[in-house]
Amino acid sequence: MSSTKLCILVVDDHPLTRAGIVQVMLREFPQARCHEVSTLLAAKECLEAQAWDLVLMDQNLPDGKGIEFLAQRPGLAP
Amino acid sequence: MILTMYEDRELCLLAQHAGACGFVSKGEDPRAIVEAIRKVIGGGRHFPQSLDKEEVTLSLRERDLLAHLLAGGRAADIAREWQVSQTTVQSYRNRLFQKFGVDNLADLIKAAVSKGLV
Repeated sequence: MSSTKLCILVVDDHPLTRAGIVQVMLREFPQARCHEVSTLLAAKECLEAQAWDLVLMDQNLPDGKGIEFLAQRPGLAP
Repeated sequence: MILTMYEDRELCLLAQHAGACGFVSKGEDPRAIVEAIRKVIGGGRHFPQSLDKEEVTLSLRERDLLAHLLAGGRAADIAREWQVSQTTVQSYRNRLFQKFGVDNLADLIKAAVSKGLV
């Protein structure tokens, strides 16, 4: 997979955590495109809108649990 | 990939069953987190091996007893050192057996070694 096309979605409700993750991702994968959201609802919209190479999801989010969200989307994992 | 504050075996298993490609604790070394992410991006999976084994939590006294038993200590000697009865020492030993799911000293030692408690 080419890093120039790497699309990363970060789902975490803590702004500082999100910022830290995005900073590390951009340092490690300079050509990546990172998008950050804070809720499962927003994550759902992002996942429906386009394909992502990597979704980094927090477990405890304001509108639900990351693992339960994932379990409801069997096609999400490659 | 699930990022969490908790290093929880149950949660890790749930993530695997839910179809996650990885499970990482936010408390891990950032370099380890990056390595895990690289692995997943490369098509691999990352689930901490330390969470694959069921944890056994021991009290200080249980740890002390385990060390004595590994060194070949006898109940009478341990009781004397602890200034308790041999029955008390045997109770602690039985509790260790129970925690490790074994019923004899040899299996207890094997289990303690396999879980890295020795």
